[in-house]
Amino acid sequence: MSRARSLVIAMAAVVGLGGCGAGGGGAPTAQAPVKGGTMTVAVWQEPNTLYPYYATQTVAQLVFEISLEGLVQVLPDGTYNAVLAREVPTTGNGGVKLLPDGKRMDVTYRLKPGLKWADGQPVTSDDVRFTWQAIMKDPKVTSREGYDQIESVDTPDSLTVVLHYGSIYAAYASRFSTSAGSPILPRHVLEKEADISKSDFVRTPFGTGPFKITEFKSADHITAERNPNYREAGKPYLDRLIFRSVPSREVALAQLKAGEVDGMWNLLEAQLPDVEKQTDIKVRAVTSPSVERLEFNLAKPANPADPNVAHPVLGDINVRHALVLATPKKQLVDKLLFGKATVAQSTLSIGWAAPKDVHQDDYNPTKAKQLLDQAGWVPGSDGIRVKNGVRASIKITTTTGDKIREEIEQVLIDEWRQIGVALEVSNLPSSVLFGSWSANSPRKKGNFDVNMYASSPDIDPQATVAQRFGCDNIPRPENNGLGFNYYRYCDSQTDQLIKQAGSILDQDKRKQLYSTILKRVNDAQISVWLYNRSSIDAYRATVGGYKDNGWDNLTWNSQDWFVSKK
Amino acid sequence: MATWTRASATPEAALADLGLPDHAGPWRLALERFLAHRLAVASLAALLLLVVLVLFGPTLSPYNPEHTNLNLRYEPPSPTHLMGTDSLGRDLLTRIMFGGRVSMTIGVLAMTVAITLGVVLGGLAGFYGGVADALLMRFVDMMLSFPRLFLLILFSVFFGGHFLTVVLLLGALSWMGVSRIIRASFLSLKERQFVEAAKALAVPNRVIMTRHLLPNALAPIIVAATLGIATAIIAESTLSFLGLGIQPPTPSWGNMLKDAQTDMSIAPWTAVFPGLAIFVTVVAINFIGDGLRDALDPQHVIRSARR
Repeated sequence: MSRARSLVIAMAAVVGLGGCGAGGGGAPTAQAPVKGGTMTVAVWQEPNTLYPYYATQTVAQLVFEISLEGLVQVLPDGTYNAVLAREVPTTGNGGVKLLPDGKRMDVTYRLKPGLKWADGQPVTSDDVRFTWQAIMKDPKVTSREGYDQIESVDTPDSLTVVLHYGSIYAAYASRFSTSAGSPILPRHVLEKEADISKSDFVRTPFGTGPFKITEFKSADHITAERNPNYREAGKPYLDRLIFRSVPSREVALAQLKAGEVDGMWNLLEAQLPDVEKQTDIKVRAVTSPSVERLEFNLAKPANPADPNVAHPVLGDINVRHALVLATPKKQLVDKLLFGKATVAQSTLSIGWAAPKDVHQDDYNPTKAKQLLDQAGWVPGSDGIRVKNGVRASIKITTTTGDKIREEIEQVLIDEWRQIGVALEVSNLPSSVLFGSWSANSPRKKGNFDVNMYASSPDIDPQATVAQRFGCDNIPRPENNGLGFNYYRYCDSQTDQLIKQAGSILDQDKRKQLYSTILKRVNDAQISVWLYNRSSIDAYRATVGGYKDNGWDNLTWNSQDWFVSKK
Repeated sequence: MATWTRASATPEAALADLGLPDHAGPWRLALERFLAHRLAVASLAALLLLVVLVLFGPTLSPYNPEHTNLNLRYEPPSPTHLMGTDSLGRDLLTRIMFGGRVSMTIGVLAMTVAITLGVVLGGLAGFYGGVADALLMRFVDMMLSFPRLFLLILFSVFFGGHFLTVVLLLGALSWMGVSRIIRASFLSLKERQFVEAAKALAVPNRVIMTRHLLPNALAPIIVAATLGIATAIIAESTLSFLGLGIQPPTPSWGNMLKDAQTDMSIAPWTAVFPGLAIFVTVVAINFIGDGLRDALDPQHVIRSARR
């Protein structure tokens, strides 16, 4: 009897509490920010580092952007916005001064007053100078593009920093930008480290951002806690933000549908039909500058590759041209991506510098076969072409756990075999493929034939163009693997044009130069620009505060995120 | 139909129970017992059918399993494509047959590697005993303490998903159970009088093990081998499902299941047929193994399924 009574009392209590909960939580769909709570985002690639200047993966920037900020950022409309600086320096507001000799410039940033690091220490101009020094001195950074144009840095007072550029660097505004993954680092924490790569900071960085990363459990999750010293009062709304590691997009989507995670990163165009049917999941798909491409290695694969030794198969421009002609881009977009992407023609798809007159050849396998015949590649008994004893057999590498990329690979295997080139799949996890020089990443070391992945240029294309097509940016032992010219492409005329485009401030002239550069790059057939990707992320309807920004990562406004009904 | 029988006390009684003339050899007896196991016989028939399909189907099929046709994606089963097409327009039935070749061959070869290793190591341990036995069995314990799937994944990442690698890997991680069985067999068999007699005749150890002990330990080996094929097929499917085993475009039942993960809602046949193929094969093999165990172990009570 007493047991039954206590059961009834317990049930009444539960109903009562539930009633209270339902009453309070019955918030309308127009969501007002709710303070507190934890949000979990599923990421299906894992960062191999969170130190911004070692990172090469998009997912790494996705994570560290919540804790590290730059002087400026890029807004969804493609304009610059001041973050830690008071204003974006321009020639108009005196922030940019050309020196009398016309060959150099000074860029002055004034910091907002009262900024603090997550540990309470003040942010000063010394931190900016230290960041520049860290980039220049550390042999392990992945790129010094633009920062190597700065000759010296002065700090006249604790809130003012002057960058003395030794040249006219056109893309100055894109340096020290959150959106480019180049934030300011805390001097008082890092100057003590003899080797930053061995410090905890590369796994659990903190900065001026709304969160500080407190835990990084490999293959499991990354935890970030609210930054009590964040500059915007009342924000971030969330107490905690967790990035959960899952093995693939499919698993992430399944967890999102089940409500185990609140958001997921980087869906595929092909997943949209499925996700759009779910009423409790929202999707944001925004045009982004990301272009999916096939990257040819012009040098013979080795660890490391010598750019002076040509690839036995891909070193022949006719082979590369034939492969471009044998890629059915339109069909891939229409069928595999359900028409939710557009065919790409170059690495710049949107933005002020995107050329309208640069193209790649359309699908034409007949012409591909003719090209190869004329170049002396003769089909062998198995249908695969041979020239001078070299068999046209190459490997394609992309990230594992990506269904669309695997499907594209299989289509390419079929199509390229029909023109007489044998293709074999050799995929790797993202953290391995996109790893660093010292971690023997095959991409950095040049130990691959064809890579397939996507990359986004910044709003100012100079960094991308210089880093990917410039001779100086071929990763080599001498420069400790600096640069993103994985093609090992080097053309002196293109190089000159790139340097020119980076050294004038007239935007129209620069646009013309980029058009010429991209035409030359396409004529060299070093890449197959597959399709322009949208930036697609999905989140549960209980999440609020998300805003699209094709020029930045999903987490660019994480301080505005909140979760209701939790 | 065989009826409930007590464990027979003597061979003659066993023969009498089965209504067999008392000069039937042990293999004939085993065959009779196997045939009495209805499920095993049915499974054998089903498996043989599958094997024939997998051996000859590919040459008879008009379709190329790797030829993509993006205009024919996700076709449901129809007279032209009996099992429909997959996400790249390839005929599913053809891919199942080619995939069956891959999966079954890997199953048989991996099992062979495992059995060979298990018999050699277990046999040596059981026969020699002492320090050799202790060392070998501790080695077995060590191998068993590793989580098998984890090791499979680890080595796959290092050595790639090629056919031979997968076979060797699966074999190298599955021999432990067999070795224990063989060791137990040899331990008890070597105390028997015919071994004592052979030793007295100065028969070399090697010959004792191969000529005298091994044939008598054959029964558990055969059963373990049969079940080992099923285990290997599942293990290969798991590896391929995780993206580490057989690489596309070569079909294997495991990687076909993997590709079908996202398509369950729009094209369920892409997952159902490969899954069914694995299911039928593995269940059939298990029943056959069951039947073999009944057939080859004379101490085992013979039963039949009652309606």
